[in-house]
Amino acid sequence: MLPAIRTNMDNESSFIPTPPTPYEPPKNLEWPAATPSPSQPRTPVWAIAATVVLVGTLAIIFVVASQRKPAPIVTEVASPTPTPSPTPVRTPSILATQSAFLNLQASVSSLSALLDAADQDSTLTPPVVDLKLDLGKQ
Amino acid sequence: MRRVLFILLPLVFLLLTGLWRRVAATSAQAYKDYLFQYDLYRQYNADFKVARTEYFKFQSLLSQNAALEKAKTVLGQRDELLRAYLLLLNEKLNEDPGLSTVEKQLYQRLITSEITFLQNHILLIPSIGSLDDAESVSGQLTTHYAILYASMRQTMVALSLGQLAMSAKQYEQILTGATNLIRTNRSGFAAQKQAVLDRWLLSVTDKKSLYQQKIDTITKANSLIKGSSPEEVDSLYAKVRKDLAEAKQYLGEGMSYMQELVNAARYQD
Repeated sequence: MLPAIRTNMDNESSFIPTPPTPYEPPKNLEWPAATPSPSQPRTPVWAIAATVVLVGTLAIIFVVASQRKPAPIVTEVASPTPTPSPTPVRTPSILATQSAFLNLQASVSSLSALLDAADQDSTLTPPVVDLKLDLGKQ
Repeated sequence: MRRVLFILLPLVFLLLTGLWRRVAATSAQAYKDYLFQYDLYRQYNADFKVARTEYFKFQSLLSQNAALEKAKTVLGQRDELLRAYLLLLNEKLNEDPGLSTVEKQLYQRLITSEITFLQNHILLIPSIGSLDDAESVSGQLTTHYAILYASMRQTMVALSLGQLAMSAKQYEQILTGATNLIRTNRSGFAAQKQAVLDRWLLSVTDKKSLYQQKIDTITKANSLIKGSSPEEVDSLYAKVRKDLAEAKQYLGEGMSYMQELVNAARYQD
């Protein structure tokens, strides 16, 4: 029990703290004896097995159902393409418009095409002739 | 009046008969003749094989005589066919612009020699009196055929060399033109650009040198195309054809470098 404390509002000169009463544990404090619970009927095995089977089946169905879900639609996010850099402008040389240069260009194209063509004349394949008469063989 | 008729009549005759066209034998005409002879040979050869089969089957005098007649026909036609082919090669040599006169004469001498052999061989055919004679006469061509075939292949290589020579001549003209053009307008390019153009010119010149080395190798190898059988000749011929393809490839690569040079020279930078 806490000592009484008088407040200033009561009377300041009459505050005398009283010593706390020593705690005495209650006597004969004992845990009540455990009373045996009344005998409960045991759960049958088949019920436990049925519960397990039921739970397992539900779990399998859930897993299969979740796998059969349609694939989520992937929305393509359009990424902005970078702006291509402009083609550099090249200054034509003094040769570019000369007739000799243009003739050279034409000659190169002409000879390149000629060299790409087939080289052997197919009309020159030698004839295939039988050299032996084989009159003695049957 | 008589004089005019005397001059005009032969001309009219020539125009009507088309004889003037036959005087200049072109390779196109020679090719048509060769194809005609080839068709005849195939026909006579097929007839001979039928007659030979019947002779083997019946062994009668009648079948023997028939086989002998067909053998004589096919032997004669075989010689005519080979002669027509050699004449075709001869016309091709005449028309080839890439070969020199000396080179043409060398191969034409080979052809003339073989044509002479065939003409002599065909003269033996009327004297064939038995199947053994036919075998003997046929054997003479069989023995000589490897030499004849080698002459054919050598001439074919020569014709390919002539075509390449024409291409090489154009190549040289283009290279000379490009060199002069670059040299004349050199000052219009920056130093770095000049170096680029010089490198391309050098590459083009190098390819020409490689081509020439290959041609020298081919010319030497062509004279060695010989053998004891057509198969042996063909294996040597195949190697020479491979070298011809490589020589052509050098020219092609040179032209691609020339194209790069043209592209580089078109712009200032």
